[in-house]
Amino acid sequence: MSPTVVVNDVTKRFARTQALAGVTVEVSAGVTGLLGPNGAGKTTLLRILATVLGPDSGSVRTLGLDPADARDRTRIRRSLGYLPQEPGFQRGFSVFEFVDYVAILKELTPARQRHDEVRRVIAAVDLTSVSGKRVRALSGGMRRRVALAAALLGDPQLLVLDEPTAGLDPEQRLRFRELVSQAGEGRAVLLSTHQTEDVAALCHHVVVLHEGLVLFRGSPSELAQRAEGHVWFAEDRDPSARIAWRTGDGSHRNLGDPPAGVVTVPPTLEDGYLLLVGARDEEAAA
Amino acid sequence: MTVEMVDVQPREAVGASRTAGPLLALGRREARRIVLSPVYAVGFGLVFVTTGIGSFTEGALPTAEHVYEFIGLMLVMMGGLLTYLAAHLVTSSARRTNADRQLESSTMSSRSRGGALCLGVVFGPSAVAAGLLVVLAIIGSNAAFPDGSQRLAVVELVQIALLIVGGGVFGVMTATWLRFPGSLLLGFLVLGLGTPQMYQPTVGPVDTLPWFAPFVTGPGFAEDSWVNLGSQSWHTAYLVGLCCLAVCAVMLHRRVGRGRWLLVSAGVFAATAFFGWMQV
Repeated sequence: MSPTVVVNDVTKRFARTQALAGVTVEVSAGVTGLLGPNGAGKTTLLRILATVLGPDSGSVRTLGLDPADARDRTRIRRSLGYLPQEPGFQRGFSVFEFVDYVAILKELTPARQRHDEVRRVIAAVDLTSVSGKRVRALSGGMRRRVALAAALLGDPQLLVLDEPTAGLDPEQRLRFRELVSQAGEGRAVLLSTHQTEDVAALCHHVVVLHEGLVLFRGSPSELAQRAEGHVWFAEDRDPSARIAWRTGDGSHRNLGDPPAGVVTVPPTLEDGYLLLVGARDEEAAA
Repeated sequence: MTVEMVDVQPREAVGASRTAGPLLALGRREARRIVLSPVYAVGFGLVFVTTGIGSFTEGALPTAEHVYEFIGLMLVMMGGLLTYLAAHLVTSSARRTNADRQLESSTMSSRSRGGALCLGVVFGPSAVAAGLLVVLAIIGSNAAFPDGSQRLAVVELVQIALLIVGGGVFGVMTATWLRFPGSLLLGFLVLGLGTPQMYQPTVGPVDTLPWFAPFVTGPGFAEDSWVNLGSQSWHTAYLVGLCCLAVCAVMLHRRVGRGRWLLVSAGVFAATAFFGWMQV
């Protein structure tokens, strides 16, 4: 089975900033995580996949179609749901009105069928009880769910989510995690996030972007294994550690090249990510 | 880990349509948003407080002539300006609230969205105004005006409706092209100050200038010294042309497929220039 999205050697530049410097990625069914620090190019890549931006060079095939072609782009958009970073909402719209407005923009007609679809997606994100409330009166987590409901309209085959859990409290994050997990059943979901826990919990595949380049492609466990033998605990910060922090029980978790004789512990996905990105930063500094 | 694979061929979204249905549906939705804009409540409320109450309380009850004069003046003096403000605010609301990020990957193009906003102006404020003008015509036909010239002719009523359409599509046009916070005020000044400047009766070779102002040229509103210099019907056609030019400007904002709209715009421009020339 061919992947839903194939990105091949894509570059994108904004004035003097090279946002993407030759990115090659494939996205298949299930949830794919996109990790990377601020400015890594995650949002640019997602906007290209959402057909909002075009690449400077390289090729993108989504659902076997070329987004550069106007007709293909329209066909892709019919099968695409996009949740941008910090989605905005016009003043005065209720939850139902906003999702219905997006449904009209997605050309879902006639009205009765469209309203049924709007009710379905509002129920899918568990907002039926507040569907008549003004969106701007809702909490941040609820607003994200409204935006997710809009992205789910028309049962899209590809869902592009840009940092959907940023700024949410733990309970809202877990709730959102459940929704993304459900959304990933039977469709391709590309999830950009800073939260390694979300990637570990949700994703079957992870891509790490850094300064417009792909540093890693593989499964979350493979990313975690990158730190195998590089994580150990000590009473103090070990001078040989690249990164270290004091944990709740007073000991220090050290990441880096361990001194001889220490007992290493099983790494997490976050350890693998931090070592990968940290090593890259050290190379750049050198 | 097992992953359920999906068919990667694109399929039509649930209920997706390729007809004019979505455009009309969006036009109706935008009409509702424009009509429900607080601008109207505030604007017409102010007009009522400043002029309406005064004239209504002079007598025991407002006469048909009072009501006629009040509705007519309200629509002529404020209808276009308020519709401009409401249409501009609705058009720019997605940009001002960052909602456009979510909307820019929708199937409907920005050109279709602009077209729907123009339709919204026709479906919403213009339809309401048309209703008020019909009421005005009915009142006018039954009211006993001491001075017969106060009763507006049908062509003047049509011109008033076009002022409201024009204000609305001008609002959509400025919000589409001028994407900065001061564009609302800038367009308001152009309309609110530029139009009266053009409308001043003048002498000499430019005494036909008021006819080129986007305003009513009938004897009910204009000075007699220049009103007889031109044709009311051609001025009405000229106003239609100006409205169509604003719609063309909205359509031209999107680069894709701009060539076809440039041709249409050239035709509309030529027709409007011809109507402008014919009116005087």
